[in-house]
Amino acid sequence: MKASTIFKHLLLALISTLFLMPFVWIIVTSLRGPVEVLREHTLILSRFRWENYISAWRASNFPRQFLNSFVVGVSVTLGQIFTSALAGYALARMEFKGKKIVFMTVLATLIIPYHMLVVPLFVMLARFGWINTYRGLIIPMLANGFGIYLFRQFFKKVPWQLEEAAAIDGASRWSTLWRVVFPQALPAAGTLFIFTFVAEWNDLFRWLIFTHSTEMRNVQLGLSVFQEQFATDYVRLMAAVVIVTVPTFILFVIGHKKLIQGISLGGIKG
Amino acid sequence: MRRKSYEPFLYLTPGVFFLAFFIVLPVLFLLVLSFFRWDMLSGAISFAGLENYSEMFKDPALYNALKNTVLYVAGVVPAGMAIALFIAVQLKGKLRTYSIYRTSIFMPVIVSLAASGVIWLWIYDYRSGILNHLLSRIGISQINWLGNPDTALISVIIVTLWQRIGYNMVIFFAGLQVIPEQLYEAAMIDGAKASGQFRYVTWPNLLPTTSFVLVINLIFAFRDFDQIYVMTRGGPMSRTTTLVYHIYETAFAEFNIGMAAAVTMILFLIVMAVTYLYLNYMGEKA
Repeated sequence: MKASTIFKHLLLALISTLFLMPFVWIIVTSLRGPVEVLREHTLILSRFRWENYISAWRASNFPRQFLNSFVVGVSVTLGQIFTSALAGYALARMEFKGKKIVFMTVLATLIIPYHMLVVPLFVMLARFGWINTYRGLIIPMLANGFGIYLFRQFFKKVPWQLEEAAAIDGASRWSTLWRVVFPQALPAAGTLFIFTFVAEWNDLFRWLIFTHSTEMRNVQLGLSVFQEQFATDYVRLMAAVVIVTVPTFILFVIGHKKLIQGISLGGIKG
Repeated sequence: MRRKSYEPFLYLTPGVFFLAFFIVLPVLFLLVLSFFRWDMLSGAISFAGLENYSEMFKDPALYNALKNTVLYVAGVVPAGMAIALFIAVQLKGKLRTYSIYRTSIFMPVIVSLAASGVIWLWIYDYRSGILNHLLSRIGISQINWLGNPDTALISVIIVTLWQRIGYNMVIFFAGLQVIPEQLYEAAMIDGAKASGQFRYVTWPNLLPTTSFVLVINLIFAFRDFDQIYVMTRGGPMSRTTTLVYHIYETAFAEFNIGMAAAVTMILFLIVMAVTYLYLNYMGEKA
């Protein structure tokens, strides 16, 4: 190995460690004893207390909360990829009046802080009778300016010749989009899938406002049982954080691997 | 290709419908609210004209929040993008060790800030935090990271960077994936070294992605709230109170929704103006 390669790996390993440190701390804390957690401020553990995980799992209704998070997360993610790809394609590849205004409006929807948007949104959803329902959690989130903008950027880089070739073969615009253009922007779709699902999975605020029954809690709200009004049960909270992070971790590892393999197999041609 | 004039609207409709109904409509409602006085506690609503706006501009808290926001954005956006791009370029490729690095750097995105914020509070802790513990070993005296008005904002910026670099890296990574390999091969035949490859192949071909990351990072930086809420609640001495945090306090601590809506409109105008100027300057390239 060349010296520069070794240096590169050393640097990357150092950066990775820095990024991983807080998470290592979460895991170490999750394995501590109740007294130890308050005194010990290094990464040294006297004993691995795996029983914390069993106790954390039992303390909250996690099976139901996982189900809620999954149903809403998957619906919102697939919905956003569909609506974003369509609108992103129109903005990247079609000419029409008012295109610039539509594009700027799409970006504008990203700017408003969500906790302000929630005030009028709550009034609307209450009118529809959608509070504390899957509908109320899913339908308002089915489009997102982030996804539309992302697809627009990636579709713009797809060579025109591919589309023209498909048109000569008699393919409709619709099938050209899904069979020719979309596969070329697969890294964008994969990125959007990971980001949207992770954001949905980690969302606390929306569920806090739009649900009220314990059956309609998501995994993040489920963590609140460890944060009592006057004291936080850090050990079990961190054990629960690890449990709750497993699905998104797996999604990233598998999704990212697939993404890289899929692209190198399919081959992007310029 | 035969083009139908209504075709673009068919493609736009699903996305635009949901955005219009669940974001644009509520925003218009907020705009109307900004002309009203609405006390959430008593429920009394009365028309206020431009009073919220004139009062807002007289309030020194607004200018403090503006100043903090500018510092925060300047601290988060350029560094967050440059480091992410550097790492993404280094990690291009299929090496197995690379995927370990990528996953590590993406971990902060996966763990919610509500959870990792607790850990950062411990890291920064004045008496028993690991950061001060490590610094004392090399002879630097303890610093009250989150409690000192001079270090609080930079401490929050570091947490944001820690989270956003992985986020940006994944987008850059996707952008790098779609650059045709032949371009690199051609550059290598022409004798381009790593720096030349970056300058003549990566940078120009990555431009739509870079431009996307810049706009998204600007918008995110103006909107960031969770890290401030978890770590400092806007303090000490309001030195980490950004515009968004100021809006939050006005709405949910002072229960002055009309005023909070007015500040929201100002935030909106600032971000929109910056975004528009940038995209206009870039033209079709971006």
